[in-house]
Amino acid sequence: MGLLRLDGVSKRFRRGREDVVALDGVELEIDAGEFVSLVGPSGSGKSTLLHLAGGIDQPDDGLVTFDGRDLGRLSVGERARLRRKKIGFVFQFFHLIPTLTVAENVALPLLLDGRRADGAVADTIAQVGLSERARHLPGELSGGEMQRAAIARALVARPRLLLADEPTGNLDSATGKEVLDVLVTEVLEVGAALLMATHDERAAGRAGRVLNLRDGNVS
Amino acid sequence: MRLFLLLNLRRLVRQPVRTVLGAVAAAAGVALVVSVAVTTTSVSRSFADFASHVAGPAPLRVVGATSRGGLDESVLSTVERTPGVGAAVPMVQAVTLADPGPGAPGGTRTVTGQTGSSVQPVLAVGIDCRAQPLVPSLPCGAGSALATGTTTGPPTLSAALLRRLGPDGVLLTDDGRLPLRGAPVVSRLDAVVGGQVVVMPLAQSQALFGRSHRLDVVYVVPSAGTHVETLKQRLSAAVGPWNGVLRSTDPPPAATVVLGGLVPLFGLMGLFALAIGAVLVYDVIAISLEERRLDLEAGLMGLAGGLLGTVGGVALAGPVTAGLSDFTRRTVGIAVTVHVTPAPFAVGAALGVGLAVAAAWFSARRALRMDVAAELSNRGLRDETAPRVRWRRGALCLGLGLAGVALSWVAGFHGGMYTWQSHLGSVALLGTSTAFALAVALAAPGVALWVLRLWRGRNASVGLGLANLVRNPGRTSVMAVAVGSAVAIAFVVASFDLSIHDAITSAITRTRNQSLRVSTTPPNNALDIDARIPPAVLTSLRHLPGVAGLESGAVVGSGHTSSGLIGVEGQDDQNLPFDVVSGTKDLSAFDRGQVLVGVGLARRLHLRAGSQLALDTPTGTVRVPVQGVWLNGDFAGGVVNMPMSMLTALYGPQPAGEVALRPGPGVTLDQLAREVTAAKLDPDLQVQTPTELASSVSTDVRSQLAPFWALQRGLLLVAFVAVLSTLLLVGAQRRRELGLLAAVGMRPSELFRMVMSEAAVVAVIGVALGALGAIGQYEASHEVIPIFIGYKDPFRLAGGTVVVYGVLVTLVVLIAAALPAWRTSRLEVAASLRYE
Ligand SMILES: Nc1ncnc2c1ncn2[C@@H]1O[C@H](COP(=O)(O)OP(=O)(O)OP(=O)(O)O)[C@@H](O)[C@H]1O
Ligand SMILES: [Mg+2]
Repeated sequence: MGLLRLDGVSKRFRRGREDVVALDGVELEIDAGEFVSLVGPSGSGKSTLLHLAGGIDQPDDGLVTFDGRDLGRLSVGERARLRRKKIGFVFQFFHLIPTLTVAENVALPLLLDGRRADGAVADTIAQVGLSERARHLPGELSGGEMQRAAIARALVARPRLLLADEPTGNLDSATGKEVLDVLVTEVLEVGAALLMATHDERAAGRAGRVLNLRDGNVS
Repeated sequence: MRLFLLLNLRRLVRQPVRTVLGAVAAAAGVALVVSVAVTTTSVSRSFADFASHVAGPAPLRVVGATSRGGLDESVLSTVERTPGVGAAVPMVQAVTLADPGPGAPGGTRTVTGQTGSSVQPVLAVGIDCRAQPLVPSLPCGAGSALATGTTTGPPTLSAALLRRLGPDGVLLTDDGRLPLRGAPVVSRLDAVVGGQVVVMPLAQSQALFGRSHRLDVVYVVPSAGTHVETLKQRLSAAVGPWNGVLRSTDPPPAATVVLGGLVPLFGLMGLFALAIGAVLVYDVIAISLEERRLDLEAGLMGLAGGLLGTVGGVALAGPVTAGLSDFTRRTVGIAVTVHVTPAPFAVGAALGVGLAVAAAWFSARRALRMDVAAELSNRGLRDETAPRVRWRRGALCLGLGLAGVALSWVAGFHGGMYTWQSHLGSVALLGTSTAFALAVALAAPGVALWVLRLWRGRNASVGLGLANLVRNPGRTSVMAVAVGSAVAIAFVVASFDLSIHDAITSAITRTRNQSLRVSTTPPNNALDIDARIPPAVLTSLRHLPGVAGLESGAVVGSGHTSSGLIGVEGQDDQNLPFDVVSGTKDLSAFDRGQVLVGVGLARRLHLRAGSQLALDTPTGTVRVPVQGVWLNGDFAGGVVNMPMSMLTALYGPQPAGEVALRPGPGVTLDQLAREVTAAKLDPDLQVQTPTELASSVSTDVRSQLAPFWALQRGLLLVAFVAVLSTLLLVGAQRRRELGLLAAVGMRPSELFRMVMSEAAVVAVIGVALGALGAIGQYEASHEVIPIFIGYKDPFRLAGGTVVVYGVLVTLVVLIAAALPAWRTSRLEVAASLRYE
């Protein structure tokens, strides 16, 4: 029984008069401790799949099961709770809150969960090599630093599933490798599952399994 | 052009909430300004209406030295002899009361003169057949009442009045009760002052209303070919400076006095609301800026808002006008009704469009100046450092406000009896309120930061809400000022309410503690009501068992321009109760005819101890010596006090409207009151103990605060709109950020709580700062107030009001925040995280 399962998951969007089929009956299973990468051309539905997996969007058909629970049967609030405890997101466009410092941004999942943040936050920030920048605002960081802050935020609650949407997309290859190392270490040490969407073939190659998304289906 | 318009319209329709908000924001400000315009027009139109019904073709009227029977009859022949006069029509226009008598439709029998109570003000018009040039259809055949000049019998009623009074109505006169049963009814009279009118022969009206050889007005029809303005000047010269020549449509001076105080105040508040409206429109536009082509969008939104605001303003003018009307009905017998002309709609629409376009222009200009690189790289957002700078500016504004308070102290020194003080007073008041409002605006984000620091580490959703307030200092300021001013106005008005009550209670219990007030007229603003105590009743009162003495005073309103009005008070008793600010209040000098003047009069006419005061009387101008200036608040300080004998000598005998009954030894006031009531001398005779008198006067005076309370309700609405629109717009701007919060695990309920706590904190900060500012504002107003009312009420702070209105405003804010909070909680997370 996998940690994350997608059974016959479909997602359509309306764009003007036409229907865009982003995902069409996707089948997918990921176990704890597994690193799976998701590749496919732009617009193939990678981000959409990650959103569905993390329960921030709902499929039109099919089931998304996380840790044995059918996400479709949970309320919006229950899914949010689940995310902050067990799922970490790294977004394609960082999405840091501009008025909170790096440390505060990283601490968000813990704060929302009502947990004391201090030690874990400092450790995670050190882990991504941003200790010097902890008290800075996102506006004062470079793109790579922002991405590392976003990763720290995804890791801080020690989630069981990491969903990363092109975490290296905006980075030079050296920095990209560093960032990826952090994520991979987390999978190896803590036994979290990592599902990473990427265009970067070298990054994809580090995964245990590479899934190809084409015409709404994985192969 | 059509396509252009269509594109804009479509965008407006696609953004309904945004459009509605922009419109409502503009509307709130426009409403207040329009209500001022409508009220002012209503006043002039109402009096012009009256003139058109009563004066007919006569463009001019001659009025006398006093508002009640101020024209000596001899003036009529002077007028008739003036070249260019075609016809001169003498008239009595007495304001009196009508009593529905038994069997009338509902209501309690109180002589309050208030609209809706069963005893109601009525205009009694006295004319004779000389009025035919004004009213050609006048029944003047041989033997008709008008032709014979009879002085008995019921007057002619309007049909409306008959309906209101029922068949057994009674007209109260200075000479006793005049039954109206069987009176002739003319339905055409319904058009005159809403039907609150009776008509009787001139001679009868002179007899019934204490105007022997006196008139109220002479209407003048020029002879063919005479220029009205020329005739007006000729008449002015002929009738002497103590009489006046006015246009028939000019409102009576007494009626314009109240308006003079109200208009600037409402105008000021309207501008304030407009400023808030402008900020909100600016907000709305700022958000749509990416879409460009804003001028038309803003214009359409402003137009909608302007029209909406105009409708609101017209609605608001209703209660404001009603308050005014209540006063004018008692003073000149003419009601003010709401007159809506196209002008306010044009003004409102123009104001709305102007406001929106100006806001759009500023908004667009700022967008052009924006540092694109900084914007793209998300730099330059260190807003948390801003509040430190603002503290300093806030402190500066606070300092300016306190300086304003100090200036107002100077302005109110010696009751503000010097001319320069009234200018200083206005400047000080305006400066103080502006400075305190700015101080609140500047301090609010700083206080939010301070609260945030205290909060750190506790509930995350509340903390995030606080952080939002800190990062958008401008928006926080707008909301805090809107909330704060609603609370501040309530606080200041309630404090004045309390202070007026205390002042009146202490003054009355101090000076009239030993007597009962017996009267047929209301205790306040009854100067010109001719329903005085009939002579027979007066005699009976004097001889009632237990009565040791009866003192009557009299008040005459002198002057025929609104700036020249002087209240002349005559008194028999030995009380000179008010504080003197200059000169003396020596009783023996007073008895020798050395008068005391109020600070308002001293300021207006530059009077000091030893000055001579020129008083217009029906027979000419008389000079009287002034012994001192004191804080008598009657007629807003435009008052002179003299012995009763002197008043009678100057103005002729005055029928007593009220008397003070002193009980004999061993008789208590309550016993005497029962005695008077049991004697059943007159059904409309009211007996009041000092406590009852104090409470009725204070209720009456405090009811004049009604417009301010209406204003406060308006500001409550402004606060609602400010919070609703600001939070909705902020929600739209922070969409992606909110999406992120949801993605990292914030539940809908927590998102909701975040927005609500943002609102709650703004409300609490606004209430707290507003209350603090209000204390300063009240102190400034309290110092300056003698300039406006001639009396210094004690300093009282209505602390309870802050609590009540603080809670109320907070509730209003929370209700306003509910929609934005709900929308935030319903956010579509995945969609909001996408880059467009
Ligand atoms: N909210 C939406 N409304 C309409 N269409 C959408 C929406 N979200 C996604 N789509 C469409 O669904 C398809 C899949 O989009 P998605 O963002 O998942 O692609 P992607 O594989 O992540 O692309 P990229 O590599 O460029 O990030 C695209 O055609 C996109 O235009
Ligand atoms: Mg994508």
